[in-house]
Amino acid sequence: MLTVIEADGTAPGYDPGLSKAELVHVYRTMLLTRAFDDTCIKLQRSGQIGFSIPNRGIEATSVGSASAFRKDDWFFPSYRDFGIPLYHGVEPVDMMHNMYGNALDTSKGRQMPVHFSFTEPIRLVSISSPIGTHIIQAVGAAYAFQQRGEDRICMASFGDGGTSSLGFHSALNFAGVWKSPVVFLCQNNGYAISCPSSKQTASESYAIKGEAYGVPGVKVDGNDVFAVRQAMTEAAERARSGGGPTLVECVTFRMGGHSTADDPSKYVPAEEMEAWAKRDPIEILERALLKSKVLTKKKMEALKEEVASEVQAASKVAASTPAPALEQVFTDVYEEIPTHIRRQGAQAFDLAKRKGDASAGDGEFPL
Amino acid sequence: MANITLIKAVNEGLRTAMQSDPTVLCFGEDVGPKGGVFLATENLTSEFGEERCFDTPLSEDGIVGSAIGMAMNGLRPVAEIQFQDFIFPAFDQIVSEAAKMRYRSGGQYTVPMVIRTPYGGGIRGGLYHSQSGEAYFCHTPGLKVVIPSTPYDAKGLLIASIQDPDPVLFLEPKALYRAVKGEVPGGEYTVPLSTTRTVREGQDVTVFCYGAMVPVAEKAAAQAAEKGIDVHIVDLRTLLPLDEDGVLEAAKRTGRVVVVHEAPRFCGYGSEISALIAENAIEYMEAPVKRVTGFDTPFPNTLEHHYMPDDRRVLDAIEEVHQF
Amino acid sequence: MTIEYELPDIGEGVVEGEVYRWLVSSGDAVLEAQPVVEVMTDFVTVEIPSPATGTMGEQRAAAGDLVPVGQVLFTIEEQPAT
Repeated sequence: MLTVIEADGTAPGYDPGLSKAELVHVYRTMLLTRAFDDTCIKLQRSGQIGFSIPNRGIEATSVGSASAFRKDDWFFPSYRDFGIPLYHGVEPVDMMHNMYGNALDTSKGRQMPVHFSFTEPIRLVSISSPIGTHIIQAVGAAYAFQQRGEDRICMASFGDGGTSSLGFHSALNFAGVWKSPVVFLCQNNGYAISCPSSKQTASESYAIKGEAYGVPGVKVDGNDVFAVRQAMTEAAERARSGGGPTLVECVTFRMGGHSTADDPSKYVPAEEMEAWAKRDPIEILERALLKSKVLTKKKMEALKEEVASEVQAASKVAASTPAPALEQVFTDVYEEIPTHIRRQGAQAFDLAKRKGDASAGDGEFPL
Repeated sequence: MANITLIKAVNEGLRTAMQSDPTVLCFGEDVGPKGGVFLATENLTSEFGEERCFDTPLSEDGIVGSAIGMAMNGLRPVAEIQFQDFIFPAFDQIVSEAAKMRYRSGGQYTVPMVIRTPYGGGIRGGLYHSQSGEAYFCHTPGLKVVIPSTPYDAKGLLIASIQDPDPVLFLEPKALYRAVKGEVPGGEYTVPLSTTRTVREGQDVTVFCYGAMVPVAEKAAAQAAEKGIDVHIVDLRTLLPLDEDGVLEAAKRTGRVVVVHEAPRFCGYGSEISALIAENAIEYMEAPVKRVTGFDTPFPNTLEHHYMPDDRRVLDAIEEVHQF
Repeated sequence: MTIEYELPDIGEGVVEGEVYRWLVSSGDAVLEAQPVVEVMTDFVTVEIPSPATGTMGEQRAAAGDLVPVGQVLFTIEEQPAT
């Protein structure tokens, strides 16, 4: 398994290929990911949002991966990848709008929280709930790049459980045959909800699964952001230069449950949780940054406060944004609104008006 | 007798079936030690062991496909699909294989299995934790489709489904899992498939419904009563094969029919009820059949309360057919 | 200003929660987001955070009580930020 940062914080012979400012951006994004995650959990517990997916512990895998890609690549993330949009400049407030499902949500309040969709500043393809469906779609999107002769690539991120899905199988198989410019990121956090890897697969690793499809695989310490970055950068370069796909397995751990409706203490042994707590990806990077004198402890604390305020402010803006307009139930089913849907929209507005619902306006379907 | 929730009744049904028949087993994602994401299979692994209640890899086609093989070879599998929204990778196995095996093999191979899955909206689950896909499966000869709405029916219909010689899709209304409580006998009992249940006797308007729409219809009927309209409510319970005689009798009783389902309107189950009545009881009808349904859009999250039929929409329909 | 905190829907279709234990007492000073009570549902035991900075007011249920979703669980006497 590839690791880079040693216990004392040194990274012998390693060049992250980043300027000091970029390194700080990596660190700050990991802090921002954690702050966003912590805040979402508090919001869910206090009833302000309905649901969230814990990201604590995944920061190095998500952010380290994101840092290996360009802003004009396409991203097909899982729902446990907050660090990917945050690294490439998606504003926390825009992610919060989705968490609240309000009128400024890019998905118009249609999806559950954490199922983001963005076209700028990056193409972050609308996240689905069924597992693995997006992986093969990434291969298709990559085919379009190949056909147009562009050097843009796609990345698809999924968990250990995702490798059991039909989408994984189709994706790896097609990508191998097509030599697709795709990087497959397997976030191996050891559990698919409560199902441990021992019940998920008999394969000796997730990385080696690529071999069956003619796709090289590499296994990486997912809590070491430099190791993640190194493996993902190599994979991205291979894809970009026509060398085809790679399967990168990042070994990490989710310190929270599967979701806010899941209690991991029911299936994760306490010793396992404690062992991983000692490998906090943020602390690992901090040791490296302190050792190489990129940041001081004081500056780190200041950054922590800064991201906490940023996320707080974002959640307040999202909280005070109203719900989507009623007509948004009926738009985007097709490009044009067919007669039968328009009729139902009219019925909905008429009923809302008779109920005295303010969202009904004058009771007429407005589109 | 115990007063328990619908989810506990499911758990009891599974336990009872597993106790009386050693060939019954439960499997799916997270159903083992965790007991399922809704706790439907709670404690079954500790009571019966991992050979009879266990976790599978994340693979709906694998879950259903392997269940078919088990059923053909002498076991009685009860496979869980975590949310009905996730069933589609298994659609091929269900529709092409489980439903057609008896027919295509001339009866040599049969598939006595149950697929249990939570369906329907009401828990802010958005597009992929709220779907009501019963219509896809009711369009599949060879399959049975069962939907309980009470704890008593949940246990009784589940045991009957497990004992049924044909593949049954058992759709559990997740909105009612913990919201509905009722008296459930201990021990083994069955509720026969393909029978409807009269929820409320009435003379003026008949409402056909199932799943989480049953309490909605009851609420609307109570409000209708205050307006002098006496509503007859029928819980369909088994959508396929349907108790057609029971439906026609209840339709003829009042001549004014409302059908309620969360699923989208176009080609929804209500269309079948409408056609059945139009073909067989038109001379008894005093009004066209009115359907109260989800919209013909995907299921939205924030605006869920506008999408799902509520008592107000059902009452509107009751009044409309009553006044026709 | 008195804020009434209603038990929200904190899980998938959860209709009630059991008060596991209070982390503060009536009259204690509390900060916004500080956990004030642990509530058990069928799925998870959650720490409910205070909606505001101020003083814990009435605790409307005791440890072991079942509280339906939507019922007021406690009140906070809000203090303006200093």
